[in-house]
Amino acid sequence: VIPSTIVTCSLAGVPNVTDISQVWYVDENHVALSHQFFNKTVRNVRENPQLGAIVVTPEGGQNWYLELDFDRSETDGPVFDEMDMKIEAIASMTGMAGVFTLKAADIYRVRSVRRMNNRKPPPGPG
Amino acid sequence: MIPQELVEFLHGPRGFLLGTRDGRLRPGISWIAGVIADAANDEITMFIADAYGARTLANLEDNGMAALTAGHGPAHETYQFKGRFIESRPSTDHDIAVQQLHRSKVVAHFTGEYGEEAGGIFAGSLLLPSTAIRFKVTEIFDQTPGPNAGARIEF
Repeated sequence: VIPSTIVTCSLAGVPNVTDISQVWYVDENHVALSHQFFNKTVRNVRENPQLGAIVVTPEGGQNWYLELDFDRSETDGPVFDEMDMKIEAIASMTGMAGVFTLKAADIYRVRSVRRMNNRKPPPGPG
Repeated sequence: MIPQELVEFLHGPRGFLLGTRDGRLRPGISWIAGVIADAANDEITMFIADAYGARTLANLEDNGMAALTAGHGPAHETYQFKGRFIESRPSTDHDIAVQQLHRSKVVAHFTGEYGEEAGGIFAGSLLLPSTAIRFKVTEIFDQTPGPNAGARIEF
């Protein structure tokens, strides 16, 4: 399990970085982030809805950078239920059962997606 | 002073991410390829690959606000260091040696914990050329999941 990392910024201009367990595909314009215990992040996005997220492809380590805007928080419904089930699986696989719990599925609009240039190019011919 | 146990933590096989923001409060984030902690001066020098560091450096030049996380994967032990940018410069030969040593530790650690494929993810990441970024640490937070998550560490 490779966690994703998110960055937010308070209205006072102080950035905050934290790991989260899930960035969940909702539809082509939205993702859901698992709201577990990151209180500072929640405070920041209520003040300033902009958020950045690094998502890592498990096969090969390619990184993607998503620019997101907070839309709404869901505490029930199909997205919440699916994420809750996955969180429990992640928690049991990583020794975090009882620590990783889902408080809400926070839905964000996707403003942009960028492939990050974080990998060495493959060796050239010869 | 940055506590000695955190200095030792920072010099281990950790994953580092640096958060910044631009003048419109739009946040940005970059991987960091190793750090040098200067406990006596509460400073951290960190290294960022030029291939993806331009926006981070522009943000730091714009407003100086920075938040660095250091995490140890298997144990989820994580700390966040907040502070202000001091200066940046091209990496020296010594800096490059630190980055290469950090990568070798990370590759060995992840290969040992999760196998060759996991180690290969880090072995294949871009490192050089790079820029050294100095920043002054003003706050440290424990971000390890659990009851102390978010607690400020006095120093």
